[in-house]
Amino acid sequence: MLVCSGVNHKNHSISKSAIRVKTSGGLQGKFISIVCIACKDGRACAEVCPSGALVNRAGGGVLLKADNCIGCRKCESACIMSAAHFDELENQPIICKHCGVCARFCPHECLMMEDVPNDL
Amino acid sequence: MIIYIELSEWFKRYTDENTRFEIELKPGITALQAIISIGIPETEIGLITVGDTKVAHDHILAHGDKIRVYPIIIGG
Amino acid sequence: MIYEKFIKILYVDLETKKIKIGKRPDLCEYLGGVGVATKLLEENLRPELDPYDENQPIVFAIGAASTVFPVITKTVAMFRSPLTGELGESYAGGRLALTLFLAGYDAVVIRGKAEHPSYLTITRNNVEIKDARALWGMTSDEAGRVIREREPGGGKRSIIRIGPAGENLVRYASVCVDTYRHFGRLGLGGVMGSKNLKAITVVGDRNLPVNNFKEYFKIYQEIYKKVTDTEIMSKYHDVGTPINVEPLNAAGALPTKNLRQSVFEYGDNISGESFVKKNLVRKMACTGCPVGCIHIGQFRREFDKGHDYEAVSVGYDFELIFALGSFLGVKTSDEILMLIETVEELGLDAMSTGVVLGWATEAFMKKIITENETIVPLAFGKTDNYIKAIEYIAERKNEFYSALANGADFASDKYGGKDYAMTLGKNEISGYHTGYGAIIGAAVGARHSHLCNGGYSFDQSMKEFDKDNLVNAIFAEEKERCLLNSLVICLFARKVYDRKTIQAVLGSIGQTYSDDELTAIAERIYKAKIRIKKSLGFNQMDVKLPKRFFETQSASGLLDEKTAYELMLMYNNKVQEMMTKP
Repeated sequence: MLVCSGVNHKNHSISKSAIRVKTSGGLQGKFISIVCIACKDGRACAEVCPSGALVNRAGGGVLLKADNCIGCRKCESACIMSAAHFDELENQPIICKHCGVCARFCPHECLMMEDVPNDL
Repeated sequence: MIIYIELSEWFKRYTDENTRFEIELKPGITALQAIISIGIPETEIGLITVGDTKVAHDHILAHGDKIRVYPIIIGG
Repeated sequence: MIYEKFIKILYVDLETKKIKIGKRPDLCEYLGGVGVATKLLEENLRPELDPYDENQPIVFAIGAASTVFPVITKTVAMFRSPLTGELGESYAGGRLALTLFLAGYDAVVIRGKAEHPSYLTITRNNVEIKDARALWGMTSDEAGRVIREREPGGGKRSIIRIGPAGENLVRYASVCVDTYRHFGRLGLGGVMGSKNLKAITVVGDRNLPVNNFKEYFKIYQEIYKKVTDTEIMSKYHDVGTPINVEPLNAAGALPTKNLRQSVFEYGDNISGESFVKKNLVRKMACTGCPVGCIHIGQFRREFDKGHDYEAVSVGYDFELIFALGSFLGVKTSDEILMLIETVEELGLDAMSTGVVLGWATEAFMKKIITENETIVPLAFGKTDNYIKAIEYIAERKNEFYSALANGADFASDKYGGKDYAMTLGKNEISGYHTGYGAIIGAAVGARHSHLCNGGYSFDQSMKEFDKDNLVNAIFAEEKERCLLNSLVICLFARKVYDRKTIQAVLGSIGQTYSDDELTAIAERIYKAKIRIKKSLGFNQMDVKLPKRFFETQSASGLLDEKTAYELMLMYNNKVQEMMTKP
């Protein structure tokens, strides 16, 4: 989370991280990561965006065109994985761009990137 | 001369999971050199005992010596 | 503070419920962490008053680079220790450093006593003192759960709290930090208890742009690589500190049965590998650390008739395996975990508890105390009675257990058996009977901990014993750790954070220091600590070294009492010399 917010938002705050890691519940719950899974068949977030701020990304998922974003937050509720979360300060969503830096800095190889074909 | 070496479990990562060795070495060799010869990095070698007695790293070995090697003490 | 030229302090008065923000540019010359905390303690301490007096402060502090670099993960707490009566200094990991950092505070100073049991919440834009009356009496686990449910901020929050031991002012009561981490030693739990402060939660989520991303990330990656590539780190992750049990036992340095022995016949049963094979279920890390040294062991317990079993998970480390294991003659890993759980729930320092019980067991054996005092018979290896004894300590059940709750030094003053009450500077010992280094290190260390200067490690690294070399090495390391603990680095990464790395880290966040300046800062901090100790009545040459150290063989052979006192005098001379220099 620290490297995601650092690299992608040049910010030290973990609130800017696109990947969020937490326990699944309580003290002894497993760790889970809430992150964009790069949907291919129907990108729910892009579908509900009224202003075309989320465009299809090759291979799955979306890319944020910040200039078009009006901050309506519809993408946040549309994402079934709860992976799109909103940055109140910047008035736009934080969207994972699958850059792989989180996986690179996971010291115990819990996170992995995979190669996918271009679907566009 | 024949030397027997027994390693702490932790050293398995350097020896392909082996902890017991029987090796042939030239006389005059030190305990440290013997252990390094089976692939243990010098910086990882802590206590060395020969036949259950603690020895210095530069202790000269004798034929039939049974060496035990332990990792260094870490802090905390 | 990162990117600023001042230290930001939150002052909280629990009695008036008023807060104050301080911005102190002058404190930057103390860097942060233990440096800033020492200065703030010096400013706010009342040496003439008791450690539990409501006017005494608790100071928490972090550093400018906290959590944004690997393994810079800790928070320091400073206070007047109720156990030793003098300098209290304790470190904890968990999420506290990150949340303080992102809440926007470098330090927190808490004074006064709340009218009734309370808990403190600190967020980016609010500080509140809330009603904790219903939580008073709860174990740290239960209290944590309630606060977790009640307070917002999950995922960017730290909750620290005391257990019943702290509420009952046990002098070595600890503070539980998040899960599995603690401010363990010297009685911070008791100080919080004396303030009616059950818990503190910190939520941190402020926006904090990186100033010089290229430089910052370059250094970050270099350090990350060093941390994850070295063998030392893999040791801390794989088996963890329990890896020490086997070599210490083999070397004849494992304090066993109140240090009557230095080899434990059941050492193999409780070695790091044994715990891995029988109990290890999970590893965790503090926020900002890629190592993950927290080892969680599990045991099964039948809690009710009719085959009602539960699985209990507890964090274990070497010091706990020594204090609640070999030191008490406890033979199995399961039993050690049971004792750890008891200590954890009640909010006690595991090390002090084990060593205190070690004294009590021997005193019982020697019949200077009887079941009139102990209620249950104490014997090495008898875990179920130890569990009861720990509960009695936490509640100060009778006059005897109340004395135990004040520490082994106090109890042995009252009942006798001073020669085998294993404390140094009134703080119970750690698990290394390696030689003079271990004893002197803790005797002269500012907070009488084995971590002050790592004296025990010199017994291993020094090929030949030399008095001057040992004293000089301890002195140098004690000062250097003042610097490391100002950042606040987890000491497991001390080899990674050499001077060059420290300069690079600080440089990348806009703080340039020369090597000489860093040396000066370290000395400045150490001098401040010595001043505080002096003002609290501490005199190094008053420290008694229990005779047991010289009766039981160490890893370096039988030690000589005169030599040990001589080393302490030599060290004290060095300190006095340092204090007279401008």
